[in-house]
Amino acid sequence: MKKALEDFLDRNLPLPGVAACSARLADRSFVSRCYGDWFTAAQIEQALNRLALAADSLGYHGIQPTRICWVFERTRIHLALRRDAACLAFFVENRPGAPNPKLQALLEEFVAMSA
Amino acid sequence: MSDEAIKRKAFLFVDDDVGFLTGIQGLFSEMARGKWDIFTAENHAKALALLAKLRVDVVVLDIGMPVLDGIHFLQLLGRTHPGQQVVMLTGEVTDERRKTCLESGAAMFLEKPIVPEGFAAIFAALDALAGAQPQGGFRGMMRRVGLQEVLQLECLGRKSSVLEIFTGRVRGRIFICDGVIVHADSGALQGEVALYGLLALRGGEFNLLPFTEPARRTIQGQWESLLMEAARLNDEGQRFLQPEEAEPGQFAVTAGMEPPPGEVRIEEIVLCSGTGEVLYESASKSLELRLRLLEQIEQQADQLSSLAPVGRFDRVEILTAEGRIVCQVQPDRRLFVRRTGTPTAVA
Repeated sequence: MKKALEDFLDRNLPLPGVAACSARLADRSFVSRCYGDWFTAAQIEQALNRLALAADSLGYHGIQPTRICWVFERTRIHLALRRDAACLAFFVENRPGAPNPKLQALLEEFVAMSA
Repeated sequence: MSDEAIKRKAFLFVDDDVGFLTGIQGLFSEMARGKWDIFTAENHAKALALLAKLRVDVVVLDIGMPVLDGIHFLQLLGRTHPGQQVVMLTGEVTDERRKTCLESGAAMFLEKPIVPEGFAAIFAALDALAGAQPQGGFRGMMRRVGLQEVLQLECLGRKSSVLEIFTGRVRGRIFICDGVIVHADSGALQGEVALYGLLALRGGEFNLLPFTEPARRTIQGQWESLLMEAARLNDEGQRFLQPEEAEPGQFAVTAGMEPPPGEVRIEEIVLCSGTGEVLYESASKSLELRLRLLEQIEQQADQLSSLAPVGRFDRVEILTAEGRIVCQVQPDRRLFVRRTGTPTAVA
């Protein structure tokens, strides 16, 4: 899946406002892309680990997420979760005009991607 | 109008057993010695037709009736004739039925007697109930009146009363003593949380009852401030329904993701202060669990902020197969909103 995912990201990104993206595969390996110097790969991979843990912890509250959006002052982090435990996060500038519909479509495509 | 006419009490007995109606009309007319007007109806349709034409002090309902049973008719009367005293009279007494009837607004739940002495007891109870109704003041219906207006009237008039509020799902009371709101309860909630929850209700029914001292006084402060705070919280609650994308610091449930198509309904709301004091809740299955979730999200957001330059946390929006959840953590407030809607394609 790694190759397919790399192709998928390179085919669709960069997009205006998207500062970085990172995917964690079922085997815990990462595919990351940083556009500009806002984030480093290490930062977004650590963040993705935290995001995945946070998503897991929602299960204790009876919540089974399919997508999550963390909204910070400067950044929105869009996260999609697959049944095989793989996940993908887009780190997007929190400003009007961000390519939200396109990102949602990419997240949906990632979830539907064959393993 | 003579004094005798004023003192007459009017009753409507509703029962599908015509023999019972005939018997009770004869027996109670004799016992009342001309002080009761007794009307009878064999079904709810006839009863409603009678109630449209005349006012009775007490409606006495049988439970086991075809088409619309007594319990449902009681609930219907609660909507069509709020304030009407209704007594349930049944031959099949169960604790569950008693509870349902009393919770649905019945003044009394009585068992149909099987011995003559029993009828005397029923007569005495009904006579006392009809006589206990307040004779002063107006009686009637007000439509589209807000609870805030009722509370203002009571407080401005320095009245003492208990405002009983009920909807299909919520039942609560607000206690006013000498124009001061001293207590509120709604389900398991008490105090200001209960007050704000009741004042946020969109519709329902209320009764103003004579004041009784609550087990504990849980509310202090000026009634004006309490009503203003309730209005403020209510305004904030309304913003949950705004569809436009929200900036950080605003309430919104749709920001960041497209709203799911079809019906959308707010199922659960918990709003608390920055220190975790619950200010408002609606239909929360477990307050404790929701508060723990908000704390957990705050901690996770702090960790994310320390890992990457993302800025101050505002909220997290969670899409599930059932709908959407928003958890907002601000210095002065924490908010949990769960809404359901038609799932999107990814769900």
